[in-house]
Amino acid sequence: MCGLAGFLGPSVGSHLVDIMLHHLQHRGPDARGQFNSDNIALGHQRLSIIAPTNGKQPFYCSNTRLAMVCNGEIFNHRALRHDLAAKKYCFQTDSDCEVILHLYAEYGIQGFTQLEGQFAFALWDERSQKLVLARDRHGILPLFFQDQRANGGGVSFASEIKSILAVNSCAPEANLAAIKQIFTFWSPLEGETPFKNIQQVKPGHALLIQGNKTEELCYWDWSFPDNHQFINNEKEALEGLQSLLTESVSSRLQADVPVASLLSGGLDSSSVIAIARDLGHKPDTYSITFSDSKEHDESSFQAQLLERYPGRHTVTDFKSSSIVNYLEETLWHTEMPLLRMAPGPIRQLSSSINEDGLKVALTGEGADEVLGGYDLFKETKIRQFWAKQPSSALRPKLLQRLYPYLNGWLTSSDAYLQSFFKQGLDQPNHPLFSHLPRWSTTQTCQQFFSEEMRDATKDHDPLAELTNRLPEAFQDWHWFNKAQYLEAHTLLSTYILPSQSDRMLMANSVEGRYPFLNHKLIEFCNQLHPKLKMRGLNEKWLLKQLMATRLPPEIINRPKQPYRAPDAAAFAHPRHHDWLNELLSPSNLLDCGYFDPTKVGFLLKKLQNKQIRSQKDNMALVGIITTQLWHRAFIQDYNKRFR
Amino acid sequence: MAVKDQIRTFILNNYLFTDDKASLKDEQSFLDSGIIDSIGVMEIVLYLETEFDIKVADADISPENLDSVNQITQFIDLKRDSLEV
Repeated sequence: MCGLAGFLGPSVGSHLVDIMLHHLQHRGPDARGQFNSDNIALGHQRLSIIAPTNGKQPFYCSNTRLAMVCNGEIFNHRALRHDLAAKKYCFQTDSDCEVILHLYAEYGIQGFTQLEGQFAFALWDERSQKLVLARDRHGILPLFFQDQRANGGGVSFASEIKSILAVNSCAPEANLAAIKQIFTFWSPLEGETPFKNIQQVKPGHALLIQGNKTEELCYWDWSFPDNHQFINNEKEALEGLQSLLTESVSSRLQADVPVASLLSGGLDSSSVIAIARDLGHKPDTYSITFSDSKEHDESSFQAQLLERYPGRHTVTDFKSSSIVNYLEETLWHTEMPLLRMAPGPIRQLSSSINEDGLKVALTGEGADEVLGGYDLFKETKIRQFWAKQPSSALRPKLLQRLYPYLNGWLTSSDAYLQSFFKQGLDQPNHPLFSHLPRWSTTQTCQQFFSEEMRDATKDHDPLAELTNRLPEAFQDWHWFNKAQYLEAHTLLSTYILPSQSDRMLMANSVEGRYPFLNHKLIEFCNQLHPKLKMRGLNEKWLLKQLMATRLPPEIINRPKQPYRAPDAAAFAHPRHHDWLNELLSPSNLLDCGYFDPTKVGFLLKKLQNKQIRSQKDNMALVGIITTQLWHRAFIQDYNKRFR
Repeated sequence: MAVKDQIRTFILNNYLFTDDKASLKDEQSFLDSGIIDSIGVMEIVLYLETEFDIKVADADISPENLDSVNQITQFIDLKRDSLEV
């Protein structure tokens, strides 16, 4: 993987792209290249993984007069290269990404549907003076742009926002609607960023920029049978999953450098490692542990997997309070406020991988969305069941299976259960039914907004905005599939892949690869009946069947535990008091303008009295702290950082 | 401080994050207002047991006893009266 940057507009000079590339060196420390023509400059920072000696970018084909810079890996490049060579296209490098150039020449935008991989690229069509910006289907790799043509300027684009900010003439402003989205969904909606006038190409989309026009095209999206005609046969499902997942792991092991693997101790990353072993590979493994926080630590499960598949293994351990030490640097890379502390430790983990001289790591991300792993799917199933008979006293008690702390005393009163989980129960066909309780909880964090912030965003309804973006067929899908679609488009593409994966790995020049995010695997799994993904309340049932003989039973049978890091607990240590009091002082809060100092003061007191226990208080605290830090880094200290 | 004032202050500070008394009516339902969640109920029970030295049985945990400042105050008074007896 790499970094790309460029500019389309009058009087563009190579020095401008040099400045942009300077801020992307962590993504590609191995080589730098530029292509310059009259109105276009394309720049590239390379992380050499395939064809290290003959894969330099930018690409330029004098026959088709196409130029391109790409951040990505095309896993089916050999087959595509063979087909394109047969059509007389000439390749100048051994790079996998060069196939994109000739696919476009042969097939136009439709050619992108043949790509199997992870990518973000900028392609310049000299003949038609058209710039094409495109991203992979899932949002694995980033691509931001700023369009200033309306003001007589040009279009700048880059893998990370800091590159664009570096060539602006003044400090950015916050996109307050996007901040409100973060305090609803944990991230801005696809295409949005927390910076005014800076947007991102959406996953599965291409942007065509020509003259004064911009056209946005979707070349791929998640889809499900709208007639509910699913594959029901278990044998067929298992064989399909086995074949596609094995092929996906195999193709992602291909590199001209060694490939490592992240190991959380969960089913997904363990499955990837087991399959890699079956294929004859023995990737070095890397794990995070939290030795002072039992609820977050998964070391016992990591040990179980290593007992079955011993190998070279490195552990990065975190003490809760040390996570704060990395927070500012983490935000420099996420480029957005966070409501959870989970990304930070992953950046430290990628540092360990980099120190060992490794550049690529497999991860298990995506399995929960594709194969139905989250507790949210179970909760939705129970709520759907309950919604058929809302007055039932027994049906909501199933929630005890998901939330053990509900056992006994809370269920003695149905009113509490009903109140906490009933959001949308009277509307089981509501498009956002599955996610309403979660988003409702997150939105409570907005109670800390200042009056100015409330006023500025009162006309923006993130839930309505999301609903407007749903595809036409959505309403006809099975409720399980609707939940999968929402997860893929509001958590996976906009929070997990950027903040917990690409940015944290690329901060230390490590490329993540995601075997579960193979579009053919996803298309196949989307045809499977939901009961093959969740059998009763048993999540990822099909994957567990597939891996039953290849993984320790402790990992197959362990309760779902999504990766998390200590949140409020990270800030509770007395050593952070002064820093926190300064950051969240009334004067600082008023200066930034997002939050109400009185309310934040009470939350801070709750933290210092060790009374923060609820998810919403945790999210609120982390959200407020990281918004303040983010504002300081990118807006307040803009001149210090970028001039 | 009177029990009712203590309860009101606790709810205002920890769930509405304010000290503005006008933000919470004594008869206002926490459930209907969305002021507390499931963890919030646990926190209230913990607070009552610690602050007022009473035991809150499983059967006591209901909106009838805990869903407003007035109801909590009444609940504490009843508990204390039963202890004296």
